[in-house]
Amino acid sequence: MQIIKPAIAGTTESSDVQIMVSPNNGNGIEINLNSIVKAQFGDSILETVKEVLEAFDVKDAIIQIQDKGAFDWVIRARMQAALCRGSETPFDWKQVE
Amino acid sequence: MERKVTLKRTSLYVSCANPANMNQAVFYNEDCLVYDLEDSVPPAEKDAARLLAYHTVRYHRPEGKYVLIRVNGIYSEFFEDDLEAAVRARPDALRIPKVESAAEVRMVSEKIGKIETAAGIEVGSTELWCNIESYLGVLRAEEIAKADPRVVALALGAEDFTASMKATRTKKGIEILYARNAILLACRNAGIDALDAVFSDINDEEGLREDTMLAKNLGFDGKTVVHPCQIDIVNSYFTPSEKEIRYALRVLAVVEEGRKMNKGAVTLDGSMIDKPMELRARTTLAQAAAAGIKIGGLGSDNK
Amino acid sequence: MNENFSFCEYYPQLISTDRELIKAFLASHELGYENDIEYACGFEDLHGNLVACGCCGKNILKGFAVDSALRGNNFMSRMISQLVSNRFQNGITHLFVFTKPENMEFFEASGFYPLAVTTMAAMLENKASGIEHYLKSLKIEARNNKNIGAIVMNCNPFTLGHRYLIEYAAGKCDELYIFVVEEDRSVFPFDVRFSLVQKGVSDLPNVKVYPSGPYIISNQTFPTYFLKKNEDAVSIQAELDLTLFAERIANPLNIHTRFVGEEPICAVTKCYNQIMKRIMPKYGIHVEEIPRKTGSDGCVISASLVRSKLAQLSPGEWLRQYVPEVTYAYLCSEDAHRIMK
Repeated sequence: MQIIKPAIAGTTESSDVQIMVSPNNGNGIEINLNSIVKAQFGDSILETVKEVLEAFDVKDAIIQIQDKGAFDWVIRARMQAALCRGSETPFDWKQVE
Repeated sequence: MERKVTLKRTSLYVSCANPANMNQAVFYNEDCLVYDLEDSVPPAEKDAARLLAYHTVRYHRPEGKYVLIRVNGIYSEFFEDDLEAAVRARPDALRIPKVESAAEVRMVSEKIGKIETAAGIEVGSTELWCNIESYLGVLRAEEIAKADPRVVALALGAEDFTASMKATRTKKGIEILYARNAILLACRNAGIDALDAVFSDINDEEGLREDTMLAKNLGFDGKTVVHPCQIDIVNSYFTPSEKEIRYALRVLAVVEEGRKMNKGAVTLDGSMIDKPMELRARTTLAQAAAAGIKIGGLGSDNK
Repeated sequence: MNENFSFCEYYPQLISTDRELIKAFLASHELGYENDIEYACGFEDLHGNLVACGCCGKNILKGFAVDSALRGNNFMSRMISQLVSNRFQNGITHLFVFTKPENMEFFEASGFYPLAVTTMAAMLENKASGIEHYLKSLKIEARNNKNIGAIVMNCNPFTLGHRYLIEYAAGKCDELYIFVVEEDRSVFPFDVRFSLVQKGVSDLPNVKVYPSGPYIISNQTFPTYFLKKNEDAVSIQAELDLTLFAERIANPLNIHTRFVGEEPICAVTKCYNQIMKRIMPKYGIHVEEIPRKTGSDGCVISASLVRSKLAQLSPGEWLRQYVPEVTYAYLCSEDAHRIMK
C-alpha cells in the first residue's frame, strides 16, 4: 500500500489516539510516538502500529501518534483508518473474518 | 429458531466517533447497547467509526448486554460497507434507520444472509430492529413487523417522524400518539417487541417519568434513551408489578404442566395460552429478576 | 462532560450571524477577529451562548477562547481535533498555530510541535520533524569550515537592486544561500519569482537559491488575535520569525551571516531589521546591512518601485534601468501581461 497524501484519523480527546500518516519520499518508515502512558505502554503501542503497517504492506510513511490512553483495539482501528485515508483506498471488508 | 427472552427495557445509543463514550457505555445498566454509525457520526468520520465499531463489537463486546450496531440508511453511500463491517462484527442485531416497507426489510435480510455465509456465521443469527421514522413507516408498520424472521423489534424515531408529518414535537407527545399505537398494533400482531421513542430533555426528570409511564401503559416493551442518566429511571417503569409477576408465574406453571402431560394446548382462566404469551411471561419474570425482585420457583432462572 | 453544552460548527464567511457570534465572543475575551477565518467550532450552553471557540483560516489555527469558569473541561482538545479534521477535509494538512507561550500545552497535547518560542508568542506546527524534513529537502551538503551567508528575499519581481545585494553578499562569503519567500503576497506567484532569481544568479557559482517553505512568517500571515491592544504586533511577529530563522534554519545549516538591504523608508522593515540586529548575535550570527543600489534617476531600486511604475506604464525600455535581462524578458511576455491585469 502506498501512502500518497497526508491523512489523519482519531482525535486527541481522552481515551482516543490521533494518528497522522504522510508519505516519506522513499525514506522508509518513521514513527513518532507521544503518549500519556508512554513509559508503561509505549512498546505495546509501537508493536500494534508496526503490525498494522505490515498487514497493509506499507514500506514508506511518516507515522505521528498522539495517544491519550487509547485501548489497543482503538489504536488498531485508527491506524487502519489513517492508512486507508492516506492511500485513498477504501478498507476491504470482504477480507475480514 | 427458538426465540430467547431478551430484555429491551432500555437501549442506549453510543457514537462510534468517540472511543471514550464507547468505553463508558459498558458500565451503565442499559439492557441494549447500540453502537451508532448513523446520526451521531459525521460523514467524514464514517469510515473510521466503522472500524472502531467492528473492533469493539467483534473482540471486546460487553458481557451481559444485548449489542446492536445502527448502520446508515439503506439508500446512503455508507450502507453497503456498514453492512459488511457490522455483520462481521457479530452483534446480536443490526438496527436499520428509516425503514419504510417490507421489501426493504427483505432486501436487507438477503444481503445480511450473503455476508453471514461469506463470513462463516450461522445464517439467520443476526437479528434486525427496524426504526420507524416517517409517516410511510408508520403506515406500513404492519407489513414491516412481519416481513422477515430476523425482525425482533420495531422502534419509533419520533424526531424524524414528526418532521415528516410537519408536526411539532412536544413533551406530552400527542403528535406521536397514533404512531405509537400503530407500531404497537403491528408488533403485537407479529409477536415482536415494540420500543418507544426517546425523551430528549435530559434535565427534565418529571417529564421523562410521565413519558415512560405512558409508554409502559400503552404496552411498549422498552424505550430508547438518549443519555445514561435516564437508564435507571426507565428501567424502573418496566419492572413488573406483583400482580403481573403472579400472572406470569401461573402462565408458566400451566405451560409446564401441559408439557409434562403432553397436552397440545393449554388454557388459563379460560383463555388459550400460546407461544407469544409464554414468551411474554418469561420476559416479565426476566424483567423482575433484572430489577432484583426475588421470585421463588418457576422462571426464577429464566433469562 | 458535555450534558449542558452542545458542540457546534460555524461558517463565518458564509453566514453573517455566525461571524457576528464569533466576533462578539472573541471581543468579550479581549481578542481580535480576523477576516480570513473560514471555519470555527465551539461549545454553546443551554441558552445558545458561546462559552468556548476555536477558528481556522487557510493553514493556521487561531481565535481560541474558553470562558474561565470552564477551563479544564477538555474543550480545547475537542475543538483542536475538530479544526484539524476540517482542515484535512479541505486538503490542508500542514497546519500552524500561533499563540501565547502559556497556552502552548493545549496544542502540544493535541499533536502540535513547537517551532519557536519568544516571551510574547509561540509558533507550532502539526509535524514532529516538519522543519527537519524541510532542511533535508534542500539537499545541502554539510560545510562546516565554510563561511556561509544567507539572504531572505521576496523578489516580487527580481530587480537590479536584488542583484546588487546578492553580488555584494556573494563576494563576502564562501557560499551564499538565497531563501525566496514562498508566500504569495502580491502580483507575481512564487514559481515565477523563484525561477527569475535562479536564472538571474546562475552566473554566480557560490550562490544557491532555495524556497523558504512555510517557515518564514510574514506580517500578513501572522495572526494578532491573541495580542492585547497595546502590544506591538510588528515587533512580536518579527521576533518570532527571526528566532525561528536563527534557531531552526541558520544554526543547523551553519549560516554565519545574514545579509539585508538597508531600509530608509518603510517603518515596518526598519523595525524588523533593528530586531534582527538584536537577535541574530545571540545565535552567533552576524548581520550585515547593505546600502541599497540607486537607479540613474536617483531612486532606490526596489520591487515596489517597479510594481508601482508597472501599474502606470506598459513594460518597455524604461525597465532596463531597474531589472536585469531575465526579468525584463519575463515582464514583456504574454504570461506577465496576464498576471499584471
